[in-house]
Amino acid sequence: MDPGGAAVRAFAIAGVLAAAGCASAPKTTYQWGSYQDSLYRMYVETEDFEPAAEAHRLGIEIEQARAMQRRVPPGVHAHLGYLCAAAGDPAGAATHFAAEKAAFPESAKFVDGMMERMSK
Amino acid sequence: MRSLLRLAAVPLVAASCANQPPAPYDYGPYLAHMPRSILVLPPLNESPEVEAPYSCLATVTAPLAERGYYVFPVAVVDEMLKANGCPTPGEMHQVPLDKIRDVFGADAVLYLTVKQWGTSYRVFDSVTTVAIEGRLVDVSTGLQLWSSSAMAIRSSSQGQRDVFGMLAAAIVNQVVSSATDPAHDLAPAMSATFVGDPNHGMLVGPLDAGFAEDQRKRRETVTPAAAK
Repeated sequence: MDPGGAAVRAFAIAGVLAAAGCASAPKTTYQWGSYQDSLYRMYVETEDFEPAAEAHRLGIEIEQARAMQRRVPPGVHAHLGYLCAAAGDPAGAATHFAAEKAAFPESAKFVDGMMERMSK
Repeated sequence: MRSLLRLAAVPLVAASCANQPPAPYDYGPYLAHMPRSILVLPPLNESPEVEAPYSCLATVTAPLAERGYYVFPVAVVDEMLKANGCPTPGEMHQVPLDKIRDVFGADAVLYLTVKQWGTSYRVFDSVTTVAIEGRLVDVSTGLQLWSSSAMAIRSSSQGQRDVFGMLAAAIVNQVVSSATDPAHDLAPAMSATFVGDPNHGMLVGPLDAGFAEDQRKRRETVTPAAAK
């Protein structure tokens, strides 16, 4: 249909391949840790799921990401805040909800709503 | 004159046969309502596997976030909806968009459906298939911005030759599979394809460093066609 477009696409693909060949920096924007595994355990392997233990693990991973100067993925602080609340730690929950909002202003409305409901 | 016509006709035929790219995806509505934040609801389930929706849900956050979007914490969203009168994905998918805007402040909602999920065991091997489809909907207008589907298949017998070896592999694979959930192992690759497919994947989101460049390219290729 558009040979020019095809040529551009071919160059783009070649460029991507070349870039991938010499890239040594981390490939991902965020340090994922076990967040997605934690979600899976929460729903599918429920017998292994314990909020306090999950909160502890995610807390350590966030510290590790910070030490490596990697970014914590969207949702992880809020997820940890929720786990803290479920484990009976409202102070921890408030800290992590605030961290989610600070890192991702897109979460402001959601986080503010949760904080408000928690304080009731 | 006739020979000229014939000459002109040949390249057209050649061009239409040589490369048959899929019809270019129309990103017009998506570009016009570019979301920053995406609310992913637990998927509907058309497979017989009970755990499929949440097994799937656990694999979509990473590819979406890496594409450049804020992704709401899927489990917290799920718990919140359950606590507010929506016990199942079916009911969650019925929540009005203005409610979603008021509670979550999301720009777009991703509605997913699990089409296939699981492993079928045959005599000499097993085949695992995971497949989803989904659509991205703009919260403020209700417009569908994008839709797509993805599938991943893995056979346990790839490379197996002799019958006895295949039989032994089938037994071993069944034991291993029951312990590790092969559909869930396959799901991340499927989710990554769903989001990042080069022909009809999602646009690069505003949180990614490549956002401006992707928008410029997409507008160059999309707008002339969309303007007609």
